[in-house]
Amino acid sequence: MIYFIYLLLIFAALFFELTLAGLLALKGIKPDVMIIVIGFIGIRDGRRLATAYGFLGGIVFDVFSAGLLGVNALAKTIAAFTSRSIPVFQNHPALYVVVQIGFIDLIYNLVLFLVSRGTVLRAEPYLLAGSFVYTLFFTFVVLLLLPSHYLKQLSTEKSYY
Amino acid sequence: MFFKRQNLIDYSVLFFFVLISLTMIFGLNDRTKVSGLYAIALDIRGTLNRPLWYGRQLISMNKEVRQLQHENALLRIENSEYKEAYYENIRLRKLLSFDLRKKFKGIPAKVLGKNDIGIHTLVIGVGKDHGVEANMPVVSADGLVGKILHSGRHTSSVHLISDRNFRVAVRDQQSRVEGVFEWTVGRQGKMSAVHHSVDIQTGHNLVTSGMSALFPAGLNVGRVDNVDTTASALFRKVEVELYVDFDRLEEVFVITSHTPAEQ
Repeated sequence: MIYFIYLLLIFAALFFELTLAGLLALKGIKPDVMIIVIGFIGIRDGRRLATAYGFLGGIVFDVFSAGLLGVNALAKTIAAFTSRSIPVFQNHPALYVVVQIGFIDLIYNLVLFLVSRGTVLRAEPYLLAGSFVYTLFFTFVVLLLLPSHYLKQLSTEKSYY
Repeated sequence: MFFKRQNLIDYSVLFFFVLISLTMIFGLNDRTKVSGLYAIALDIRGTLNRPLWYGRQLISMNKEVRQLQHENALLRIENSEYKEAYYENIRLRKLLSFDLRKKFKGIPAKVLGKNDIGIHTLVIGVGKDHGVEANMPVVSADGLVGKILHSGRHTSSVHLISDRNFRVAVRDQQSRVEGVFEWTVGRQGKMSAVHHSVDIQTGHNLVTSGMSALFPAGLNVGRVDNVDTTASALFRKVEVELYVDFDRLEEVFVITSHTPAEQ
């Protein structure tokens, strides 16, 4: 069931990025909601699942953005794999979520920049940096909407490790 | 061992997806191969964005409507000003043609105010500096308005024909009967000193007779509104309607000289 919900979340994030994110864009800079979703999946269920959903999210994003097929898939796959690479802040779950998602987004932007550097669809550094800041801000907004006990639950270690 | 196995699976998953991604980057980016996929995605994206596009259009149209309403309001004000200037132009042209026809020398003046308490007067925007002096006749394109009561440097007061204390010698243009006009109420007045035997009829035009030293002959005053023929008195009761509408008077003409102007 949870896999289906994640799938729905990925497509909801895609829908948001293709439609509503344009309304929130500041000088072409948009928040990357899909990275937030992948980050949450990674924090909650570990990097393996996050990597799979990262690839899925990346590939659908590549198709719908009519960019280079595989670039986003690669960047999101690698970024998702870094989920839970930062040690958990037991007493600050919200801060942990923000730092973790920020780190994933940083890796994603770095990979995207390096991969797209030699192509015609080169990602501009200022856009990536702006998107990073905007995504962090959005993560804060999402955290404000989540109940605090859920955040604590999110930041606890999973048994599969 | 368990820890290592989990890690191995994780890295295998990563390797698998990275491999697929790289394959796609290097192998599937020939647009002709994936054009169908892109076309479907584009259609879906277009469908998803359509309501948003309509929403945006609605918002921008709303803004445009507000802007147009604002511009419309400004244009209406501007138009109203142009209309005002147009009608003023017509009135002034009438005054000028009146001047030429009658060959009087005079000064056009704006009506600045009106006083209906005590002596009925108008305040006009010309005075001694413009050559205006007391007792000069004041007319509009419709007819006699009154005479200058007082004149200051830049303004003057006009004693209106529509005042009980105002009298003017008039003549019926058709029957040539003479009498004295005096105001009664509103735009109504009466022509007194009209002998019972004279032929004066409703609709006749009354003008100044020229018997008075103040008013030149031939200035329109009013129209005979009613003639009471049943009265057995020595004089006829002749009711007159004034030509000038004092409530809508905006420009007047002060006659400074009765002598004909040079052609």
